[in-house]
Parts: sequence; C-alpha cells; structure tokens
Amino acid sequence: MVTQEKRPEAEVEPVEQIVEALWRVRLRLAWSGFKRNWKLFAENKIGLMGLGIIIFFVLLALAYPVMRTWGPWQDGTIYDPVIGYDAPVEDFEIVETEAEVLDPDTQMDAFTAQLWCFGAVAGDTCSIPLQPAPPGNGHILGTDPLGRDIASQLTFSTRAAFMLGLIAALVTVVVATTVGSIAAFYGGWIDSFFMRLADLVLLMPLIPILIVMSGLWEVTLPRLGVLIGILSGFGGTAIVLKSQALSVKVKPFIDAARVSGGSNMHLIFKHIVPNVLPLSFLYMMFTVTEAVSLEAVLSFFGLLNVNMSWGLMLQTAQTQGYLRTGLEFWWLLIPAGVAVTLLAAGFFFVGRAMDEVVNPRLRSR
Amino acid sequence: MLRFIGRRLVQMFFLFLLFLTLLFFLLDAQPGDITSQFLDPTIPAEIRAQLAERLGLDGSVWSRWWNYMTNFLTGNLGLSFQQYPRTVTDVIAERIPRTLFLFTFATLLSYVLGFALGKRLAWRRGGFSEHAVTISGVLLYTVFYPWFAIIMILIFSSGLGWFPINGFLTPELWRNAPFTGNEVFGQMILSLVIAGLILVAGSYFSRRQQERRPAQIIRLVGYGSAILFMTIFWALKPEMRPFASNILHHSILPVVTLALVAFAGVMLLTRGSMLETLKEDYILTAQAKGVPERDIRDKHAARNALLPVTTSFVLGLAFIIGGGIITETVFSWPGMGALLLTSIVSEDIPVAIGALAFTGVLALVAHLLVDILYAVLDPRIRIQTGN
Amino acid sequence: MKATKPLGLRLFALLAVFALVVAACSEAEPADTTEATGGTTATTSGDTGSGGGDGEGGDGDGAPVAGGAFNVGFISNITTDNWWAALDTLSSTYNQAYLGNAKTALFTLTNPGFVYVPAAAATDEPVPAVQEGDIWVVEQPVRTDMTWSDGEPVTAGDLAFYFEVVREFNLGSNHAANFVPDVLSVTAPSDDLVRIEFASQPGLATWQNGVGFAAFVPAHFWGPHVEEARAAAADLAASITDEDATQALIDASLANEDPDDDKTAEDITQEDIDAYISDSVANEALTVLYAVEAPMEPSSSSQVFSQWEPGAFAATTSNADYFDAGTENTYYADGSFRVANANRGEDAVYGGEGSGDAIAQYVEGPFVSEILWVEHGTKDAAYEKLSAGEVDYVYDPTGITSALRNELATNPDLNFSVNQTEGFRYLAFNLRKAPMSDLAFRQAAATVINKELVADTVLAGAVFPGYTVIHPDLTSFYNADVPRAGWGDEGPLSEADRYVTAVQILKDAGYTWTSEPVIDVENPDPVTTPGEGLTMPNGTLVPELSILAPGPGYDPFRATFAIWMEQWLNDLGVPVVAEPTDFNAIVSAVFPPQTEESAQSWDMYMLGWGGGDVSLPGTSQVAFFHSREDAVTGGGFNTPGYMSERFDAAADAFESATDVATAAELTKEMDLILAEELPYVVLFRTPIIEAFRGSVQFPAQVIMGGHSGFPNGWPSSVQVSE
Repeated sequence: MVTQEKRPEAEVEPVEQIVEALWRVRLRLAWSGFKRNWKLFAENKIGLMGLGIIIFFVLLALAYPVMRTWGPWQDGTIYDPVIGYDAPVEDFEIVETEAEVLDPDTQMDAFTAQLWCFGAVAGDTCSIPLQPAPPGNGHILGTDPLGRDIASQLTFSTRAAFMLGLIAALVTVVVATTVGSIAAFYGGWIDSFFMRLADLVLLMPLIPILIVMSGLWEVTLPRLGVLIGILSGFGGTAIVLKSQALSVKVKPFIDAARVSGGSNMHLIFKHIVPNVLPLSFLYMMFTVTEAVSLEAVLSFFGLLNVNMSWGLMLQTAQTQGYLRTGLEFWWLLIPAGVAVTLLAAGFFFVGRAMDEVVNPRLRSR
Repeated sequence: MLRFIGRRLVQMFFLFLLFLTLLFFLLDAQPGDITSQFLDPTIPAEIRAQLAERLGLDGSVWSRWWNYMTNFLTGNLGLSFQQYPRTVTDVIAERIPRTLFLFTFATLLSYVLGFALGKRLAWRRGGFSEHAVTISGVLLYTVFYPWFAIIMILIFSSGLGWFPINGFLTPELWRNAPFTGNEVFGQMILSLVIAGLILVAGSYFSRRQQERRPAQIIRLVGYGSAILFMTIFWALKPEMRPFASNILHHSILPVVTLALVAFAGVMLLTRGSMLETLKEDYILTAQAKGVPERDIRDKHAARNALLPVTTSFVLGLAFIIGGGIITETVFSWPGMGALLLTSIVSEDIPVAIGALAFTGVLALVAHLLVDILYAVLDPRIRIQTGN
Repeated sequence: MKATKPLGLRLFALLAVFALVVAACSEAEPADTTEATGGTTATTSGDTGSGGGDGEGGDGDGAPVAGGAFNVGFISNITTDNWWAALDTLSSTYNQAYLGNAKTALFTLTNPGFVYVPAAAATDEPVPAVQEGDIWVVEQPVRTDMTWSDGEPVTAGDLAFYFEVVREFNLGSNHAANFVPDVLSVTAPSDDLVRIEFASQPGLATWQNGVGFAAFVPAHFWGPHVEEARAAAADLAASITDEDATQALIDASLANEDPDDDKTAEDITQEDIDAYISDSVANEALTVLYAVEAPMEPSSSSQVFSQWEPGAFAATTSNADYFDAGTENTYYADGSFRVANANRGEDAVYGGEGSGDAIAQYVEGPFVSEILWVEHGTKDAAYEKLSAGEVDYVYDPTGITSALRNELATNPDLNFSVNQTEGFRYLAFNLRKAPMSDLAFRQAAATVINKELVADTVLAGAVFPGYTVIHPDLTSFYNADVPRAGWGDEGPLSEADRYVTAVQILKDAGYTWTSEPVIDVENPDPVTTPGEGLTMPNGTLVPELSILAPGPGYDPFRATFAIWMEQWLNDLGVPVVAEPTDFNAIVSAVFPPQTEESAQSWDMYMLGWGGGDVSLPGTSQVAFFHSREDAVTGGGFNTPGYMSERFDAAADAFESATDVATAAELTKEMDLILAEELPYVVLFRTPIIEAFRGSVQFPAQVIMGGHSGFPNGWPSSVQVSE
C-alpha cells in the first residue's frame, strides 16, 4: 500500500544510489509501507476477524471446483447446483381410509395421497420424493425444494458473490478515484458538473432503481456489479474521494511537480491518485458489502435473472413456503442467510479496520 | 443566508427536473407495458389498442415526456394504471401516512439507541465490551435483511405469539369501523409529533441551564408534559383508542426489526465522529481543567459529534421509501415501499415515477436542511457562506 | 457528583408514553363501533328469499344472515371497489372475486360441472335467433320475480342499461367481450323481455356465451352516476372546439417517429375530428364512472359489497334477500345438473338426464353472515395466516406452496382439495423464421422433448405432460386421438429411440450434419457425441437459436424444462441456448404490437395460458392460432405467425356453429390440426392444490381449476362450522 510519505523518504536517498532501478525503489517503499500498515491493521482484532471470515469464504469458493472435479460431487446430474437433482423416493401403499393405515411409514390413505399422487386410488403405490431432503445421504446440507444439493449451491454461489463484489468494488474505485481526482484538480465547472451528477445519483434510492434496471435489461451478475459500481462510484464515494483529493492538491509536492513541468495528466495520475488510493481501497470494502447485500435482496424478490445465488436459494425456499415453517427446514433457512450476512460483515470489518489505518485521527495512539 | 438558500433552491429545482427526466426515460424504456397484464384472449385487438390509448401509452417518447413534465409541474402526476382512474397523487397520499408512521418511529428509535451506544463505545476503546457491541452491531448492520425480518416473525409472532404475523390492522376489529385506517394514522402521527416537540423543547431549555439541578427539573417537566399530553390526547378520543392501539400493536415488530438493523450504522458513525472530536484541543483542555469524564463525554465531545450524526439522520429520512420496500413487503405493510415495488414490477409507470419523484423531493429537502443545519450549527461554515 | 442519565430517561419516557397509550386503549371497549358507511343494510325478513318488489331503500332493520364470517386470504392487493373498473382496466382476479358476487346474467354455469343453465332467463334454453330482414333477432323472456338487495325488481331494462353504457362510453375488456361488435342493440320492450339484434346469425360465442353471460346492472343505482359521467363528458365536449381537435390530431401525427403519416390541417377531415372528440368524451365519461366508490351497491346475487380498507381488507355482506336461497343443486355422474327450488315450485335437469350417482349436492345459502377478503403482500404471508387460523381459505390461483403439503398431510385443522386446471404451459416456435418454419424441424424438436421424463422424474409428478390445447377432463371437447410426438404405439419412446426418431425425421426432410449425433442405445445417457453442424435442406447452417424462458425465480418448472430442452436439442445438433428472461420482456418481445421486423427478434419462447371459457374452450384455440389473430398483421395472440388454411377453415366453422355438439366436433378437429402442424409444443399442466380450514365446506370438492378457478361459484353456498 502506498502512503503519502514516499516523496520525503525518496529525497533522503544518497545521490549515488539513484542508479538503482526506479521500480525497485518503488517496490521497496511499497513493501515497507505495507509492513507498517499491516502492523497497524494487525493490532485491530476485529479487522483480523473480518480477514478470517473472507479467507473462510475464499476456501468455500474453492471448495466448489475441487469437489466437482476431484471430490465426491463429480456426478453432474446429482450435484449440479442448477439442474442437478437427487430425490430419494419413499413408496407408500395407498389404502382406502385413514383407519386402514396400519403403518404410517409405508401406508397412506387415498385422500392424503392426492397431495402427491393426484388421481391415485387404493391399491396404487405413491412414490413421494424427499424434497427438500434433510442432511445426509451424500448431501451434507440436504437438498432444496427442487432436490438440488444445498452445499453445492452454497459453494457455487460463493464464487459468484465474490465476483460480483469485486466487479462492483473495482468499478467504484476506478470511477470514484478518477472523478474525485479530476474534479478536485480542475475545479470550476468540471467540479460542479461531477458534484451535481453525484447529487443526482444520490437522489436515486438504490434498490428501486436497480429494480427498474432489472426490468429494463437482462441483469446478470457481472452487469449488476457494474451497475452498483457506477451508481456508487459517481455518487457518494466520488464526493468523499474528491475532498481527499482536494487536501492532496494543496500539498507542496504537487506545486513542485507542476513547476518541474509535469503535465496535468501526469499530476493527476502520478501524484494525486496514488495518494487518494488508500481511502479508495477502504471504500472498496464497503462497496463489496453493499453489493453482496443488494444482490441477495434483488434475488430474494425474484428480480434478477441468475441461475443460482444465495439470494435465489432463499427465494426458492420462500416461494415454496419453507422459510416460514420455523426451524423444521433449517437447512433451507440458515446456510444461505448466514452466508450473505457473514461475507458482507467480513468485508465491513476489514473496511472498518482499514479506516483506522488510513485515518490517523481514529488511531489509538 | 437567504441568498444562500435561494441559490440552493434554484439549483435544486434544476436538479429535480433532470432527475425527473432521467426517471421518465428509465421507466418509459421498460419493455412491455401495463396492457400486457391483460393478456386475455377474449379481448379483441382493437380494444387492447384502445386501452393503450386510454392509458396514454401511444405517441412518441418525446411527446410523452413533454406531456409528463408539463403535467408534473402543474401538479398533475397522471392516473395510476394499477388503480385506474385514481390519480397518482391520491394513491401516494393514501400510502404516505403508513410509511411515515412506521419509519419515523423506527428511525428515531435507532438513532437514540445508536447515539447512546456509540458515544460510550468511543469512550471505552479496546475493551471487551467494545468488541462485543461492535461485532454484534456490524452483524446486525450487514444482516440479510428480509431473512432477518422473517426470523423475527418466526420468533416473536409465530413462536411466542406476542405480535400479529403481518398486516397493519385486524380485519375483524376494523369491520364497520367508524374511521378509515388513514384517519387513525393521521391522529397517531399528530400526537407523536406534538409529544416529540414538547420533548425537544424540554431538552432545549434544560441545556441552556448551567446548573445541573434546574436542568434536570426542566427535563423532567418536559417528559411529564409529553406523557400528560399523550394521556389527554387519547383520553379525548375514546372511540379511536382501540383502533390506534391495534395499529400500534401491529407496528411494534416491524419497528423493532428496522431499528435493530439501523442502529449499528448510527452507532459506528457516532463512535468515529466522537473519536475525531476527542483529538481536539478543547477536550484536552477540559481534561486538564479536571472536568468530570462524563461531562466531557456528554457535554463537550458528544455534542460536537452530533453534527455528522444529525446529517445522516436527516439524509436517512429521505430514503425510507427505498428502504421500505423490504420491510413493507415482508410484513405485508401497505406503504410507499410496497407501492413502489408493485408499481415497478407491474409497470404502473405513473405511480412508479410519482413515488420515486416523491423520494427525490424528500431527499432534496433533506439536503437543503443539512446545508442550513451546518450553516447554523457550525460557526466555521457560517463564516464561509456568509461572505 | 450525581450523574443523570438523560438517554436512559428519554428511552424510558418513550416507552412509558406508549405503554400508556396501549394501556389506555386496551381498557376501552371496542364494541362501541358504529356503522361507517351511510348505506343501509338492505334486508327484509327471513331466509325464504322472496323479497317483495315494494318499498324503496329496503327498511334496514333486517336480520342479517346467520352464521359466522368467512375470511378469505388474498395473496395480493385489491385495487378497486368499482365493479365497472374491475371488469375492464383493473380486471385482476382478486377484484373480480370479491366484487363479482352481486350480479346475475341471463344464463350461468354451474358449480361444479360448468353446465349451462338459466339464471335471469325465463326459458330453459337460450331462445334461438331468427332472421328479420338483414338482421338476426333474439327475443329472450326474463324472469320477473327477482329483486335487488334494496327491494327494487330486477328487470330486462337493467340488461339494456348495461349495453347502453358499454356502447355509449366505449367500455373495453370484459365489457366489450360481452357485447361483440356483431351485437347491434339490446333493448327491453317490456320488463320481462330482452330483445337482442345481431348483424349476422350469431354463433355460440356471440349470443349464448356472449350476451348470455352479460350482467344485469342495477340501473336505478347507477343511473345517477352515469348521468354525472355524461355531464362531465358533455362539459368536455363543449370545451373542445374543432380547431383544438385538429391541432391535437396534427400534434399526434407529428409526435410519432413515422414521417409518412405527418398531417397538415388540410389532411384532417371532419370525420377525424368527430372521431377524436367522441373518443375523448367517452374516455372522460369512463374515468368518472370508474372512479365511483360504490359500497352498498344493490346486489341481485349472494353478496353485497360493503367496505374496503385499502391495503388491509374488503368486506361483503351476505344478501338476506338472495333470490336463489334454498335452491337444491345436484350434479350427476352423467354430467347433468338438477336445480330444484321448492319455494318457487321449480325442478329441472339440465345438460343430460340426471342419471348416475350424485357427485355433488348442496343447497344455496348464503350460510355465512359476511365474507372478509383479507389482503396480503406475499403468498407465504397469506398461508402463514391460514396456519395460524386467522383466515379460513387462501384464494390463490397458483395453488399452495409445497411446504404446506407436509402440513396439510399432518395437520387435522386444515383441509385441502386437489383439482385439474385447464391451462397449459407451452413452447412456441417462430414460424416466420427458418428452421422453425419447417414442420420437420418442429416435429424433430417435439420428439426429443421428453416431457414425461421431466414431469415424472425431475419434477416428481408435480406437473403432467400435455398433448392438446384442450384439457382431457373437458371430455366433450377433448380429442384423445391426436398424434403425440415422441410416442410409439405403446406409449412414450425411450430416450434413445427419441433421438433415433428425430434424426430420421430430419434426414428424411433433407437435413445434414457435419458430424451426426452418435447414439448408443444401451447407454442411459444415449447421445455419446452430440451432433454438430446441422444444415438445412437448402444448404444453410442452422443458426444459433434461443429459447426465451422465464427464470427460476418466476417459474421453476418452466426454467427446469428450458434447461433440459436446451440439452436435448444440443445433443441433436441444434445450436440452441435457453435464456432465462423476465416475464415482461418475453411478453413485449412476442405479443402485439409487433412489426414484421420486431417479430424476427425471437426463435422460441415458453409461456403458459390459463383462464379460458371452459364451457366453450374452442374460443381459445381460435384466439391463439387463427391467421387473422396474427401478432403482426392482426394484433392478436397468434404469436407464432401460424398461417394454416386448414386450421382457419375449422376455426371459422367453429365460430359460426350455433349448437354445442357441432362446436365440440370442430374443437376436436382444431386440436388434431394443431398436434399435426405443431405451432406450439404443449408441454405440461399443473394440478392446483388449495388449502382451507377444516371447518370450511365448499359446495363441491372436485371442480376444474379449483375454487379459485371459479371465484363466483361458491360464496353463495360456502359454509363455516363453528
């Protein structure tokens, strides 16, 4: 991570050593900056916990390809998160009335059987699929209402959640840093334009606008990531980063660079942007949190066209009515909900810890 | 100051026009239209064309835009497709009290809770309690909200049976009720606002006191009169009381759920803002002078840390409608959020734009309030804008 | 120093205030509520249902119908309390379910069985049309012994009034469907006679199932409101000058992107102007009429609408003067229906002999004092209320959630019914494009679509495979002998045989592959190497195709089917991708308005149909497949662009059929043509399971489409035991 102090340090290097390749100097400085910041970060227990959570989810995401390629989930018709199905069936012998049911585990009266085997009459056999099936039988987290493996869906969706979060975060950072730096550097009407644009974006409540977009477009996960990135990049984040860039702009080394003939682009991208970046990374973390939650909410309302995601797992369970049955079908209720919450929290914890690193006024010493 | 406000107002107006245009084109570009909701093969084609015409769906996009903008500015937001021929204004007006009641209640609760915990958290850095509160706070803040709401219903409604499962009133009680739901909501909001004003006045006058004792007395008088007011207000309306309490009972679970999710954000913000304040010189001075810790916390630090928190409070109020989508859907609470969701999903474009525009107006007014608040509260800003 | 706790105190105060409010409220008696609306609860004595024709405004002291309230849970919101709007712009099934129990038509369908029986008509059968000069006329006698719930008599004039308003205000949707353009006039020469004039000899859909199902509307109640609407319209008409109209027409012609139809003042004729003014005026009148809130609108059927608390519930009160109260209904195994009313001395059997066992038997009530229609935001919220006992029945046209199945099987407090539904889900081909335009291609595709496998195995019997547009249970209209793609003589082919057959069909039609699919008959997954480079007989490669299908969030069944179909067709060498697509996006891509160009944008799509007229199901076939209903040229629902002279001939014959037997034969023939020419592949049907409290007794358990499929069939006779 790069810090503001790099220039003064570079100046104390003895003149002879300038022959050392510039990239090596940079690398060394970056490394020392990273070490210093890591020390600060590592003091923050909550931040470490967040990092732990993220690592856990990285492992979870890796588990999917590993299990599908080498592990026990190789059978595509059973363990595919979208089209796989595995429904062990229980056969019931149908008898006329409830009074004739001697063994409720193997017999069922004709009326009740209509729920599964419409049109069946006494004497028939009714095969009731165990959907959703509880954990066991090769499915460590059971199956969903369509007989698909929950564990496979959970791990498969982890990768998607990361992808979405990273896309959203990257787009946010690129957009917001550029916009913030340019607005701060040039000021005047350019500044006004971007700040009014930010105001405009801020007027839009995120969830409804994304719902509108989802009607307008095939919103796939990568596109959702870009959308969230753009909305947050041109909105609030741009304003925060602009004020940071403003404080950089008035630093003496910018004047120095200007006097030595640096072009505007050079000034912005070589001097201002690097000094805004630490704060940008911080906002990246918060964007990931936001993106993960938003995707889950939109999927939960059935508004995204994705084949599988944590939100969709919960939506499937909800539309089939399993969420309101209490803990009886806990494997439909708990894993996906906890995953969304924890991953979002993990990035938030890290972001908060980074805040204390980046923002000296929050440090405890 | 007036010139400042005037300039902001003009800016706001143009910003709003831009916003409205953007909304119009976003929603107008939606595939399909409301007539696709009536895919009834028995309806002849010319009748469907007629329906489209009646709903104003023909003509070019520019003429539709121009019509919409001019109508909007003359206060005509059009007719709802979903509830044709009710006006959009009428539909929105029906929903606003319900949302306002739910969310002001929840927002107040979450800010009171978040601010109280946040300032203690800043004071107690690094302790076990800080970690415990922070972690649970963040978990609540990032919790998958619809899921959390369902779990709350599972525990407190289905499980313990303390609260109704969903809805905002009990049909059997309201059958033949002498009031409409909105009349009761109106009275409830009115009484809450007046009681709130009494509390604010009490706390304002108590803060002006230098001595602790009279300040306390004034504050207590404030609480007392608020309670007294509430008692008298509702004692005078015995026939409305059972209905008000029915609504109140239905609102408790959504309010608590919302407040639990929202308070952590306030708490973390307060903490951060307090920590920054604590580095200020005047806190050091106060400490050097031997001012009691609690007084430094509550009087010196917290009051200055209040500024960003107030800002986020005001800005947050404007977004209650967007945020309301989840709460209102899960709790079957028919407010603005639920209206927005159904109108967007079923392509009731006039209502969708109307509701979003309403959100935009709220947000703009909130922005203006924040600007003014800053100008009034923070002397440094006042000096700048005064020039 | 003693410290204060301002925050704690503030919180405490807040809580105290609310505790106080709650306490204050709970001690108040909720019994002192009064009637809100000014209307009178119109009742006369007793439950004999023979309300006298005298006295206006009905005397309001009446004994309401005994029995408790029946609470119906809606899975969606009510959007209007105006009957006119509920049949037109706001025609949601929920609006119609609660507002639709207050009117009578000349004829009606029975619950269950859908037997065509007289209601307000005084003859057992509809009077046939006779030719009078150029026009055809029906003079249908009407009963004179029915009354509105406010005591006024129901007369022929009420039907004439309805027709008059529909035509004058240009009302659309269901209103217009009752009176198709062929209906020239509906008048009431006397209180007991309706005279209907048709432009040509009316077929079943025009007379029996058209005007015959149009409601008698209480003219004495709506008359003043219609006057208001007329007045508003007249005001508008007076304010629009010819110049305004001309300008508006010019603006409209300039407004759209098409420069060819731009007009100047010279292009606009007086006719255009008059048409514009009359359109605007009718629209204004309609707006006024549809905005009337109408609690206590007089009812001639079992329920009187009395209250709507938007977002929460609506209430209808049972009509103590219900004309049909006490009628004994019996539905027999031979499909006939007996209606007997001792008070009126009537006893008749319709639609057969009345032989065989009585399948359903019930007496008309109403047996509940009122029905509360409770709104819910989501489906699972409504079912949660059912489990908790707060609603008695969930009105849900899509059927229960699967979680509820387990509860239904074990919870003795809950009961359920399982029924067939007449709707179907289908795959449509775009016949305007190759290779979908080629019958061989469609046959091959239909052959590899193993609906039996998905329905029985993957979806575990939750759906049934379907082969015809008409449901098999509509026995008199169903053609069991249509060819079934993918079937051999002994039933469905095996997975491998399907591929073999499909490859053969394509080869015979001249298709080639660069690499033909390799089929191993022994393998459970028979295609070991998928086909590649499928080329059409004319030498061009089959292009990348797509199937627009609803996503798993909207309908997991169709989404599952789409993914499997993609697999099968790819195995065959057809490069197809199933694209999960938003429902609205599919609708807007395939349904009108479409141009020749925009209709090229899709290859195949999956949607479903439901809710047709079960007593005359052929009307749906005509609407979906007649060439005049083409989505591009006709603005109709023939989305595939299916143009078949053979089908059109059958459809035209069907439309002019004047008796049910001929109509049924033609319906069968249309299904045969469709199964051979395959513009759609009918995929599957779902049964509907509905749940209600054990205390609820519906008049019939077995009814196609379930109770929600016939929402106005049960409110008059449903019972709730305490």
